[in-house]
Amino acid sequence: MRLQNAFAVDAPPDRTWAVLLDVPRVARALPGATIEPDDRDGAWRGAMRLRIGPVTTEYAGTARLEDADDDERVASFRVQGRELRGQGTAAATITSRLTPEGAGTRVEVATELHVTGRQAQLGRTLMQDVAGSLLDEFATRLERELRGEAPEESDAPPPGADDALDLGAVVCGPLLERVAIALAGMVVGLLLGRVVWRR
Amino acid sequence: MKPAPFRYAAPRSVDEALGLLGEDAKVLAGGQSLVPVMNFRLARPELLVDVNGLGELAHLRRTGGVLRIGALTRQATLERSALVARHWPLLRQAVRHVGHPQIRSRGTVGGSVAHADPAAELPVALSALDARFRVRSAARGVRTLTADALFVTHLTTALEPDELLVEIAVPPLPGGARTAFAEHARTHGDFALAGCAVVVAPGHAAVALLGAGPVPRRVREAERALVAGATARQAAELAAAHVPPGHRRALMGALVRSALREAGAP
Repeated sequence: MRLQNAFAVDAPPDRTWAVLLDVPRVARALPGATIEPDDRDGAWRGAMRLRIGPVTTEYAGTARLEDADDDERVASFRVQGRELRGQGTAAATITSRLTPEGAGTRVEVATELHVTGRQAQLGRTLMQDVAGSLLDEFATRLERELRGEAPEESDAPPPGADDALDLGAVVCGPLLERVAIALAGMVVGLLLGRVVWRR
Repeated sequence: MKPAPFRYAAPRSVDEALGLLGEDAKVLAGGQSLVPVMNFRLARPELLVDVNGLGELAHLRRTGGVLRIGALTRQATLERSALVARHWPLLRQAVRHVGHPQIRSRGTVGGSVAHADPAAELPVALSALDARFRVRSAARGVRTLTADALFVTHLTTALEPDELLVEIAVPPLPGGARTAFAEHARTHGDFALAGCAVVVAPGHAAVALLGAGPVPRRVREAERALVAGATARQAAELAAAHVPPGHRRALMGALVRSALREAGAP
């Protein structure tokens, strides 16, 4: 599954590029992600927690910078994870391309995502929505990181707060829509059936 | 079989690794050649220095047009890289012939170079690309070698026992360059009998042979002929002359000819 997203960061390309290549700093900006302080052969171990409505999934795995093109400011990351409770896996190759936009930077992100297990049943449309909202949150946090501010959430978590990004709000819209369409279809079908039956 | 007893060290930095290297030590990277050789007891190093923890050697980066490949970069990473595919397609063409996917996911680019197997694909491709090899030692610091200086003979490089290959630098291809890699092995994934890596560009040509002697061999006379307008057939004949007559010469000629045609030579 291929996902395309883009966002703008209010920092010059040079600074954004330096931060982007720093895997732990990028991971800190990812909602719901935690990362171990040491890497092994360039692979950073970590975990990521995702909440989609009532479903919470936690993946553990590795992230690594695969290649970086300083000349065109394109970097590829490879992220591989396994569900902590469950059989699912997720693997992604994430390619980010930076271009100047005014005084800031435009970040284009192409993600090649392979998901197995029950999460895969969510389908592409939903995944795109989830990825979109994840990246929005990521962009906000990355900007904060670039401005040199620590992410508020991890510094002083409000009591009982959950760092996992709650995607319920994002997902409810499209999900409800689909449920509504399906229901409408059933109702129409039933009505038609009755009409035919009566004849 | 099991290897002879050895000591094992897993340094956390390149400096620490360099301090451990010496006469009876071997560097363990992906282990795809060294471990079998140890299991057959053909190699009995006293100390294994495992460099797998050295993230500083696992980079793949283009800066100022030059590709810098950290010695610990996995062959699979090279194979997957869009950056490599776009600017140095020869490396991708060559790495696909290395062993099997399982081997490539552990095997490293630096390991393939330092092991210097005469049938290895990556040294031949790197030779055709005029790569430079950066090696480091605690005593003498950094030195940079060309492929001709690095590869000495069968399984032997100019690396001293206390030296570590740290990085391979590949210059950009000339404008309009096309590349190809061809080889023949009895079965897929087996060691090749013959092969070649070629680069063809306006005013530039490179032909490097696999299986024509113990090290990658650049065929300068074929390269000059190509620049002067020779056909793929003529250049292939010059290249095949470096192989003893018979089946292998015919094979080399056919491989070079088809690779050169694939790369756009007339």
